[in-house]
Amino acid sequence: MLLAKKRRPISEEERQDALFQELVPEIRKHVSLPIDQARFLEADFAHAITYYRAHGFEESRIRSLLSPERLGGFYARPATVWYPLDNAAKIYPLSMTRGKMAIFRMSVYLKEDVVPEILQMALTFTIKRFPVFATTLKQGFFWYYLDSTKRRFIVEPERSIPCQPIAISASGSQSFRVLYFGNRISVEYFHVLCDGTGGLTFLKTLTGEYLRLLGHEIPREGDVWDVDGIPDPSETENAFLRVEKQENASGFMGKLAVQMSGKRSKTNPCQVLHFVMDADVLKQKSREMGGTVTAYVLALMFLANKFATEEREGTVQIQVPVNLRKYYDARTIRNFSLYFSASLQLDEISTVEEMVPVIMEQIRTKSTKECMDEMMYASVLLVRSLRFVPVFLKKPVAEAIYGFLGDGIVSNTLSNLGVCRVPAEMEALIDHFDFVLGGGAVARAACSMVTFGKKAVLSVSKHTADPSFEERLSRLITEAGIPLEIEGSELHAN
Amino acid sequence: MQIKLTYPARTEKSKFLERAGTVLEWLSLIACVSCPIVNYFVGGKWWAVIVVWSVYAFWSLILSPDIVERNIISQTVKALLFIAVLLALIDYFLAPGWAHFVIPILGFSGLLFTSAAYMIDFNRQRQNAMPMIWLFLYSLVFSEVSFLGLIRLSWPVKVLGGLSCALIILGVIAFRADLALELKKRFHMD
Repeated sequence: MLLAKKRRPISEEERQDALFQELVPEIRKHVSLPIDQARFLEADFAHAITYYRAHGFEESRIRSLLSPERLGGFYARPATVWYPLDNAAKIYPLSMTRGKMAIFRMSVYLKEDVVPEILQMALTFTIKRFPVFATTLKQGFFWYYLDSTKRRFIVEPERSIPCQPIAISASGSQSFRVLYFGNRISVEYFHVLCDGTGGLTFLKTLTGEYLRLLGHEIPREGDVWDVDGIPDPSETENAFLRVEKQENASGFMGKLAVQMSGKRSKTNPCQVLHFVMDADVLKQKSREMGGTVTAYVLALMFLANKFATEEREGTVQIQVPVNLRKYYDARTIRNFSLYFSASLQLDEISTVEEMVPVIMEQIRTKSTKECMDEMMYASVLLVRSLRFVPVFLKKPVAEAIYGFLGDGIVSNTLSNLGVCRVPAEMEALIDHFDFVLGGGAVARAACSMVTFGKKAVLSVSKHTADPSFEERLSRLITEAGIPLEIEGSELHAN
Repeated sequence: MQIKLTYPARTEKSKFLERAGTVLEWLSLIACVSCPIVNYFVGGKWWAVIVVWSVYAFWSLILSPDIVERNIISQTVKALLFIAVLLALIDYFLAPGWAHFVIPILGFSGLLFTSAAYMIDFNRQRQNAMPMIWLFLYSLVFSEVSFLGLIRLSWPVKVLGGLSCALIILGVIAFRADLALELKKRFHMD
């Protein structure tokens, strides 16, 4: 079934299609892949033509939408480009173990069901604009790196819970996956490729191309890139290297944090929940409390965290990623974010009204450019000092540190991408977005948020079957008078 | 709390392989602990070393295979190294006198196999050359050690040395640009 979905062979009727026959020589001129891959790529064109014919598209329109010229030279050139990992990405392959990978996912919910044949073509045309995503992770002697791969990148039907590990071991493996389910298009990324901002840019561009292939007029502006454009080196820059020498270099270490109670499940995440809130009411409520949406949601999370733990003393620490692009004029789609910890002692966690000003103060003082620069500089120094140490020595140390210390200093995470904007022509065709974080090693939950139009979606990735956290969070949101709908997956805990 | 399900329904997968893996992992751990103890108390030759190494090889190749770069060249080289060490251990601890002859045969067979895999499927394997380069270097070192008299010199050693030299020269001539790029990537420090 899976194979059939991924690689539906071309039917005799599709093969005989006059337009397809016309396009084949052109496609072959633009593709120099192994024969099996090339044939399936041709089949993708045939399936798309079948879809267009069934939906009454004119032949000239089909020819223009599916012009093989749009493949450019991407599929014809050998894979020679490679990228050293950026400073933030370097830790992910070092700390990953079987079944535990740093994966995150972004989804867009359209107003119509997804057409897989057209989504496949959209990916085929889009990937060439994102060469750093067309890569496979490789192991060097001192560091891992991304090696370009030329293949037919595939879209797959969604079958399991989000953010499961991606099989990256085979030659030319994809380091991301594109999934569809109903009206949802999702992209799951291995964090070595990009951060949330980069991931969202790819998703928006892919969605824009998909909608364009469906016949909508979608302008190529903002984060919806021109897929036929030329990639710019600044888009794949390791922007961490921009930091200038600092007097202090710090920020990575911390005390162990209070963890929620509940046994960690073997499947991570074992459940994904989306708290779909009214964005205007949420914003209004945050203002009333004297804070931003992030501060307000953090306050709710502190309360829910306190409810979900049996510990009576210690510090709840919620990691909040900071997009460094707001401090640096960087266009990179690779990782360029760091984080700070919003932290409160368990006995300081009282009411939302009391906590919001404290959290606001922490946001103001801990996420400044100076703090981030110090942390960036620490990362640069760390990478520099470890550069002569072979991977086989670094890896066991990193696994141990990440497993027992790195993630242990975090009780929870809140990654807020803020308001997601797309061109108005696209906005009308989209219902909402969501954003899901994969698993850490110790923490029992991770939260992420994105707002689109009137919907603010707070997603909770659960790593324990214990429902205390989300139940309390749901109650707090409802009690605050914010309209709420909860969507999500079944529990996959074992 | 009402949850509207928006994900595919959970499907029950067979847990047979997962459970079999767990059982094998525990058996391996038990073997690694119990065999040296039994060997110590029973005395005699150090057969437990061979058991422990074999279990480690089984663990590394089958139970917990590489997460990154599991391709035909890397796995062939890895398996060859495990087998070569295993043969050396058997030779040293149990039945001496033949490994200097057998290991080079294994080595040049591996050289031929990996080189053929590289050249036949060049487009796919061009980015997997590094394990093969390591095998060339190990082979050269092994034959050098033999030529220096530290290991008994035999015809397979001469073939191994000659073949590895020839393949390195051929590689430098035919695939110079690819190999240079591969080395640059593999040894980058930034």
